[in-house]
Amino acid sequence: MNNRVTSILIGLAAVTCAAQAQLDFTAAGRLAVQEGGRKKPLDTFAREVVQRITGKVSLNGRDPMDVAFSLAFAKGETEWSSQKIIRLGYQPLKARLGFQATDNYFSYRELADNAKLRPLFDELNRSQQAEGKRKAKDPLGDEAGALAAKLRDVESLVDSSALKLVPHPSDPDDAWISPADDAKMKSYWPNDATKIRDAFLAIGTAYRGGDAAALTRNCEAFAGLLRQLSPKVYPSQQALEHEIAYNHLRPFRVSWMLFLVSLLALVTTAKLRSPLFYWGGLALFTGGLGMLTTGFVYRCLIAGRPPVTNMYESVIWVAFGAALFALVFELMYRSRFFAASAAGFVVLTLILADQFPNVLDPSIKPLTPVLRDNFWLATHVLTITLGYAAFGLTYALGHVSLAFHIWKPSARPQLDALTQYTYRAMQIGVLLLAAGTGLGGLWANYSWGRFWGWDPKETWSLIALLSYLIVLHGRYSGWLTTFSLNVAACVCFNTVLMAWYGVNFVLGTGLHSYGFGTGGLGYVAAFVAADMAFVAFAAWRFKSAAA
Amino acid sequence: MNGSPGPLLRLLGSMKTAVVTLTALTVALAWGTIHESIHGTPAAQREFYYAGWFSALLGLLAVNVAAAALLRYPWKRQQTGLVVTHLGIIIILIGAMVGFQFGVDGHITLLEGQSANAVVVQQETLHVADAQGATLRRIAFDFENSPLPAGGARYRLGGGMELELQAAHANIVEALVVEHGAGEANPALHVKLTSAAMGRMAAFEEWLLPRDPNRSEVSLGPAALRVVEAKTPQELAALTAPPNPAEQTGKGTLTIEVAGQRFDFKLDDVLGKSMSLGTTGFTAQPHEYFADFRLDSKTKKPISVSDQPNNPAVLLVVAGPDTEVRFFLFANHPGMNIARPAKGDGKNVTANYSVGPSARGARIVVIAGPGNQLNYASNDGKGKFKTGELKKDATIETGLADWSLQVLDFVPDAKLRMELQPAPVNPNDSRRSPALRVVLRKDSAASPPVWVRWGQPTMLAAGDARVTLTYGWETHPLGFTVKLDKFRAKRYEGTEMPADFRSFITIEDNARGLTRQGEVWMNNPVTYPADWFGVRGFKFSQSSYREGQAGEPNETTLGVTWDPGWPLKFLGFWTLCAGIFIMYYMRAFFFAPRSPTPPSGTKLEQNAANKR
Repeated sequence: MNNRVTSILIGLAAVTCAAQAQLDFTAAGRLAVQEGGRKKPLDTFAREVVQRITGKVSLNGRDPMDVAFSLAFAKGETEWSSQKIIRLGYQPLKARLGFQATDNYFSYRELADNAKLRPLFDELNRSQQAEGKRKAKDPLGDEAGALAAKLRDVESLVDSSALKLVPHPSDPDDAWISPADDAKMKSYWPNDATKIRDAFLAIGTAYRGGDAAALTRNCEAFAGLLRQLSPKVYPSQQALEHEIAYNHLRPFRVSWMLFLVSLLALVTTAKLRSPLFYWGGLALFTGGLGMLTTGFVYRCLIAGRPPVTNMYESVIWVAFGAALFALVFELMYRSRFFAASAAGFVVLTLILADQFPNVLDPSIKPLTPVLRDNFWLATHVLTITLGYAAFGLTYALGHVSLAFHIWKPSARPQLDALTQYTYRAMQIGVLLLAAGTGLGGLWANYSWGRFWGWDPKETWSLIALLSYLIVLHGRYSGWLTTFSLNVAACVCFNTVLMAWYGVNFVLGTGLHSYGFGTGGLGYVAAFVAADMAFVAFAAWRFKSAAA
Repeated sequence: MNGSPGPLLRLLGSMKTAVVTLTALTVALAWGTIHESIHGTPAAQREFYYAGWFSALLGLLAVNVAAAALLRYPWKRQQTGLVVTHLGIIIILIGAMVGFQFGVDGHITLLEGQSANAVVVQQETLHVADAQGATLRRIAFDFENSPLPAGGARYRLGGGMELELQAAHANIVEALVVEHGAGEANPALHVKLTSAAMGRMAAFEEWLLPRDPNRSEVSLGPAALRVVEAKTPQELAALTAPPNPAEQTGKGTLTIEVAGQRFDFKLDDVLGKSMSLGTTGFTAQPHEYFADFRLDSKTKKPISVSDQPNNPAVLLVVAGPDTEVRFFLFANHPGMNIARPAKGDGKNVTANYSVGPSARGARIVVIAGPGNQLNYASNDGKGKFKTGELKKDATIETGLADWSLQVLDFVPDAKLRMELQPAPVNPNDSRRSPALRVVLRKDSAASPPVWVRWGQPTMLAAGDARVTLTYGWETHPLGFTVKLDKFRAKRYEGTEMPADFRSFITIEDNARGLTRQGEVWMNNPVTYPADWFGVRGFKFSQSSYREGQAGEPNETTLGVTWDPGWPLKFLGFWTLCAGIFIMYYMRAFFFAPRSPTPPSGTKLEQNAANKR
């Protein structure tokens, strides 16, 4: 331990091992662990737990495996308990606990020693028991519950109880155990408990000693031992590899970068009218789409189901749908507008999914029983989210069109073409949203025994559909001009946002509770407000130009 | 519609009506969901989705959609999409109406081994049966929307019988009624406690009975109120004597467990001293005692804010070979205990701190007797003791926080009986017991007024007439029997998250002489009687469940529906989708495009059509 250097990193005082910086966690990441109702590589577990505790994808650039191991194997409490690694951003809770409003990261000790925290937990437990069930909306309670979960995450890593690395001898559905749990180890593996435990402790020793070769060797030995002891239960090397490859590829991040480059290429070279740049931009666009597809294939392989079961996956699927429609339209019209608008929209949504893991949880989780039907999941959910995607494209085209109205009102042919495109995309959205909503009814009739029950999610998708129908009828009758069709395309998307995000994150009632979540409301509201201000500005400019 | 359509039809089918109706519907729906998120689903359904005005709005939409299509008759080929789409909407709306009017939407709840032959529907009814069990009348209520008239209501039952419904109350409780004249001593006290600081919620007013262990003591948060009987002056003297101070001052007990061995210490004896723990090689030292622990907000150091044992805490250090653990222990909040290993992992050492009830148990005792006298004795648990005489109706300060006590009535020879009485209603209380007060009349004879409680069949007699009344949810006969054989819930590996839960049911249909077995789970309903489209059969779908604890049977709730409008909804939905598709994407097939788009767009559109 002499080779330890103390380094003050931005925002936290973390103690790191100089030698550990060179450790290779490849073999350690391939250990299988059971958590959250499925078996996963330790690599995934480490990423998820670090993201849960810190709210960030990585902590100061350290490998999540390194962070998890430093908690699990570090000697003594000083190494971890004073590190400010636990994120607490919710102001009312910070105020309640008497913390500085500007601090967002706290150490385990600060939180555990806070005199107001335990009474608060006790109070919440009591009120939950008294209510019999959770209150519909209780942000402080939710945030305090999330904080308690973070503390538990840290504690369970420190005492190794979270490292459920040891499989059941024969039953693939039974619980795995931690090698540190002596009593259970003896009941699971009466003959091999000591051997397994020693192999586990050897990993810790190698890690603490900063011995990269020994770490790899010991991890491989540990995995080999368990696979040999419980061959039916231990997941195959290939399944683990798939997931690790997905973790390291980060296809959705690569994808938004490709789309961003594509967007820049298409926009900056618009004046050049060179087919080289046009097709180059489109190739980048297609590359981004391909990367999205790759990510989806991986997630399907890992989870064994269509990847549209939570907010994160639906955001990505909507990006995918918008890009796909845009590419098809682009090949039909060769206008550049479709690809550029869609690229803008896709970059925005994918960055959201990539950068806000607290709100949009990227972890792969098992499904609630009601969703366990791949046929309906694929038909209803994919259709309805493709409808959102088409409206997303409509929305993007509407904005480009409004921008042209503001800054290039003389470009008549482009304006007319853009309006035509907006209308085209809106038609797809109406068809898919109507079909998706109705398919939801068919599924509900099948699963719940009723076709339609005015559940908030059902109701809002109908509201979204109706609002676009109003626009289409207004357009058909000629009441909506070219300009106001584009305004409507921008405004109506708010109903889609409400059906998509608002019902699950704001209203928080109804039967679609498996999609519920918290967070992001302030950002979404600010975004919508700013966007509507832009639309109002465009309308004002248009009016004053016409006058 | 040959010739010119009437002005009314033209108005109903106009684009203006369409846009106005759609906008009104959109606003109403949005408002409804917000209402639901604030006031809950039943309120939203009552005031929005299933309200009369909402049905009227949907009706207007149907008329508008139909009129818009009819106005364009005779239809041209390129109008196919429009007509088909509008037809789809009308079929769906008719299907919804049929389902709403004639369908059954209920549930059955069964324990393993139980069976049912009827569905429970969410409709309050009073079922009246004669002495043989034959239904005389079924009266449906909706008290939320149409409360009972002030004068009550009368229902003819046939055979000269008449039922008078005098009152409906959403919560009836069995209340104790105390009267004089038992003929022997049986004290009863009507006691009222009020606290200005704790507000109305803490007010307590009830009859307490010293001789009934279930009704002699009430817990008031940290304090307790007890009534006792003193038969002799000696008993009274003992009850009003001040407590022994020796029992009061104890600082409590420390319990330390090391390597499976347990050690108990009285904190008064060991505070500040270092003790060796048997032969374990460990020592323990309670360093500091805080009677009223608080963490100083500035220095972040523990302090005691008073010498009263309001929040007793101890700083204890346990040390041994390779181990040193610093404990912060709280007598009133063991959940807050902190164990911080300074050396080693400290997993083999645990410690606990407790303070006996004598130092904490605040209580007030009201003493009845001997004879008609009343006394009280209060102890705030911190050494303050108070005693004195109590006069009926006089308010005294108890000495416990700011509680004041009043004995509203004292009956030394109480005759007791239970009576059903209306009680305050908390609409969110699922255990409240609604009831109807009814009188049965036949000719000149009448029964006394009786409360018929929810779910409790009640017999009524007037003269020679006998009826049984059952107040509860409406039931709908199935025509066959459903039995729950067993219920099983599977979990996701290593978690408590349900992965799959299913009911194994047996359907016995004596009329057809059939027995069917089925498994109901999420996304896998059972329909019986089965037919190709599920038109005739009841559909059983898994709704919720409750697992029995410790060998008790599991309970399942199945949704049971029959929707005669279902085929229409299904047909309407596909018609609608086909209509939209035709309208947008098959215009080339149905000839000349109309022009919903500006002229410049038409060219593009034609190009697109040509490409396809």
